[in-house]
Formats: sequence, structure tokens, C-alpha cells
Amino acid sequence: MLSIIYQIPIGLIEADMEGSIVAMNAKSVQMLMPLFHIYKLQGNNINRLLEIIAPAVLAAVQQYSMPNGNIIKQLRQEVLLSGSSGPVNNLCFLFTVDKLNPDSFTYVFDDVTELYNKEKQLNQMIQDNAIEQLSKFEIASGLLHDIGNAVVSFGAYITKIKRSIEQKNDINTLESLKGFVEKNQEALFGAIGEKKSRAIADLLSGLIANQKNVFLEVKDSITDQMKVISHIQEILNIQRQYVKGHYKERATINVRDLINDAVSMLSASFEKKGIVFSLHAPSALLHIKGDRTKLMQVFLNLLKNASDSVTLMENEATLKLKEINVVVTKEPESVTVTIQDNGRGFDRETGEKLFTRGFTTKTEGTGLGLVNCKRIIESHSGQIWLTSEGPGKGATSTVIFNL
Amino acid sequence: MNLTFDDPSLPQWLDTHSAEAYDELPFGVVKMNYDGMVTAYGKAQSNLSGVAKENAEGKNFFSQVAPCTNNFMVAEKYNADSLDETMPYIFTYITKPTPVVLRLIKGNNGSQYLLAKNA
Repeated sequence: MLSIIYQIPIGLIEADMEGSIVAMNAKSVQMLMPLFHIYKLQGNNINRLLEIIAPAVLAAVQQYSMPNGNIIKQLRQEVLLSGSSGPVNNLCFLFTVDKLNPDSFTYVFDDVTELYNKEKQLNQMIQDNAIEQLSKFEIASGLLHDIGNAVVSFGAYITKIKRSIEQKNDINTLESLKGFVEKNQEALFGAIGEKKSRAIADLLSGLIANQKNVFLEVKDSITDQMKVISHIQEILNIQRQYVKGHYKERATINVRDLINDAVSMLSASFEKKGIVFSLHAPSALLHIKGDRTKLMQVFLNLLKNASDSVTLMENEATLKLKEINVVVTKEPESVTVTIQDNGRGFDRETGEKLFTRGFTTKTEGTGLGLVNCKRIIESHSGQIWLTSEGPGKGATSTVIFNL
Repeated sequence: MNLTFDDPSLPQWLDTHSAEAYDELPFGVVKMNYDGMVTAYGKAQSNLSGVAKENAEGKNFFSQVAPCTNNFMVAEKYNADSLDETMPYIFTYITKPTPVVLRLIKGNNGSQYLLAKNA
């Protein structure tokens, strides 16, 4: 048995109450002799060494008052060698100390320096990656900010042009001139003859019509440009929120409060459109961890979609009560939110494309809203889907947060 | 044998004498090749370590005979081109700690030596 203990690949020492070593195996000598040597100790007393390299271990041993038992279990102790330099000289030992009888302690220890250094390297790598990632996000954020500013300036410039052509076109002048010619037609007949006079009036009418056409074309073109700018701004906003939110701490959110706040923001719109809204949520705590701003964006989007859907039914002259019902339910491991409307619904083909980037059923839509919602919910380890029994049969949005 | 543990001529003497002569010395001698394989194990060394000559010869000294010396304080010192160094150490006869003094010598004929005596 002794020869097995002698050869086992972990350090094993038996010492008396004062630290004098009674027995030690080969591995303990191999590991500790260099330390005894560095600190100019004789190598016969473990307490003298622990005093220097692991005072916490020694303190625990000296304070232990029970007749026997475990004192320290798998304590990781970093040993910084004095007067040494370089990472190779930083050791890490794993200590277990037991009191087997009233007169002696056993110290079991292992050199886990290699493992410790690998863990440190891994941690460093994780930190470096995080810093690198953060700097990438900072660059992306800055870039998006600059592009956003440029787009805002461009939008302002386009708006200025639109106002300018509305206020400063020649149509009004030509209309006035035409009115003047028509008013003084008889005098003009006498001065330049009827034929020429009518020709001038026709020319003015032609010019006015032409100017009006050009004006309408330019106005339509500018309106299209404004839509493109709005689209770009929406994309930039989504990307900016994604970049901004990447390192955001997640807070505890009450789902019921979140839905209530989203509804409050839309209540005036619901009232104006004659939408009857209801919320059913249990009194139980509906707490999830998340980014409140992003989740608010999701529920605003889903509620707006429902609102648009029931309003479109009205446009289609289908007479019925416009309803949106929100139900929140709690399971032991999830919170589910369903938003049900009795609006225009959708067919299976449309349903399959709803989360496809760029797909929209709205004339003014960008096809990004639901894509963004899905990304946000999935970043919260949740799921989102939309169902409908078919066109004209309403739709249900379901969001599940896994607890 | 009049040679002492600290004798400056000992490295040369060890290189030029046989294993039988080592048995006559009053301190332990381990002769190894540069890879650490034991080629001679003196009688005094057996008494000191508790390891019989036949259990040591042909084995790697640092990993198989005396793993307690397999560290930078002893084994790695032999990586130097030349070596003659004396230091206090501890041998464990099974598990009983025995303070010793070691003299580490790198010879010139492809051999290296570890000498040991009680502290």
C-alpha cells in the first residue's frame, strides 16, 4: 500500500500539528522541493511553506478545532513565486486537507498550473474577442450614424425642392397671363387680329398643361424619393437598434406592463379607428428577462399590423365590429402572448412569406417589420409565428418567451 | 577510497572508473546516460534510497526510479551543457522523508551522475 501511495501522481503529505512532515510521497517531493528551495526552507515543515505560498490554507488548518474531518476541499491556490518573472513561474495548486486523527493532518495537492494557464488563456481570448466585437460594433454604429445623418440631410434637401417647385413654378404666372389675354380678347383682336390672338391663348393653354404635367411628374418622382428615404431610414434604425442592443444588459420585465404600455401608445389610434381592444392577463407574475425597448418595438409592430388589418376590412366594406384581443398566459416554463384580430387575415401562401425580408402586403410597407420582430424575439430565446384561417377570417400573432 | 563528496576531481574520476569502483565510495552514485537511463547504481545509493541496484539499472532515473527528482530543480538541470552543482534535497524512502545533499554532475563521456549523501 505504501509503495502505491509513494507512486500516485498527486502530492500526499502527512504532517503533525506543528507542520513537521512525517510522510510524503514522490510526487509531493517533486512538486514542493523547488518551492522549499526557492524560499530557502529545509523541506521538513509544510507549515513554513504554506505560510508563504498559501496562507489561507495554513489559517484554515490552524483554526480547525474538531478532532477529525475535512478542512479544505479542492481549494485552488495560485502561487506567485517571489523574485521570479514570467508566466511559467506562476503556479496553481489544488489543495485538500483533512484531519484524520487529533495529532496529524493529510495534505493532498496537485499542480494544476497547466490547466489554470489554459483557462486564463481562454478567458483572455474571450475578453479579446469581446473587445474586438465591441470595437466592430462601435465602428458599425458610427457608420450607421453617419449614413443616417447623410440620409436625413438628403431628405431635407428633397423636401426643400418639393416646397420650392410647389411655391415657385410658372403655372400661376401663365394662368394669370392666360386670364389677362382672355379678359382683353377684344382689344387684342383689334391690335393683332383674331387669329393671332386665339393662337396666343391656345399657346398659353398648352404651356400651362405642359407645366402641370411636368410638375406632377416631378412631384411624383419626389414622393417616390421620399419613400425610398423613409425605407433607408427604417433599415438604418433597425440596424442601429441591433448594434446598440447587442451588449445591453437584460432587465426583468413584466409582460403585462409591457403590453399595457404598448396599447397606451396606440389607444388614441384604436379609438379613432373604432377598434374594440381587450387584454386578458393573469394576476400571476409574468416576468421575463429582456430588452424592454426592443420588445416594445415588437408588440407595437404586431398591434399596428392587427390595427391595419381590421381597418382594411372596413375599407372593403365588410360591416362588423373591429376587434383586437390580447391574451397573456403563463406556464411553468414559458409566457405566451397572443394577439388576435378579426381583420382581413391571409392565405397559406402569404403566411409562408410573412417573415421573408422585403415581403409585404401593405402598399406603404417595407417588408422589414416582422423580420425585425422575429430577430428580436429569437434573440430573447423565444418564438414568434402568425396564423390565419384564411382571407377575411382574421389572424393571430403568437409570441412565446421561454423562462 | 579517499575521495570525498565535494572533491573537485570527482567528475573526472567517475568518467574513468567502473561501476564496481562506485560501490566503494562512502556516498551514493547514480550513473546515467544523457537520456536519464541508469547504467550504474552504487551500493550506498541503494542504502540511501531503498531501491535495489537491479531495480534501478536500465530504467529512467527521473521518471521510474526517483520521480521525486523529476522537476526543474534536479532533472532539468541536466539539460545544461556542463553541470556540477550541490544542493540540499529530500529523498522519500517509500514515504519517509530523508534529508540528503545532492551533487549533480554532467560528465564528458556521454554520462551524467547524481551523487547523494545524508544531510
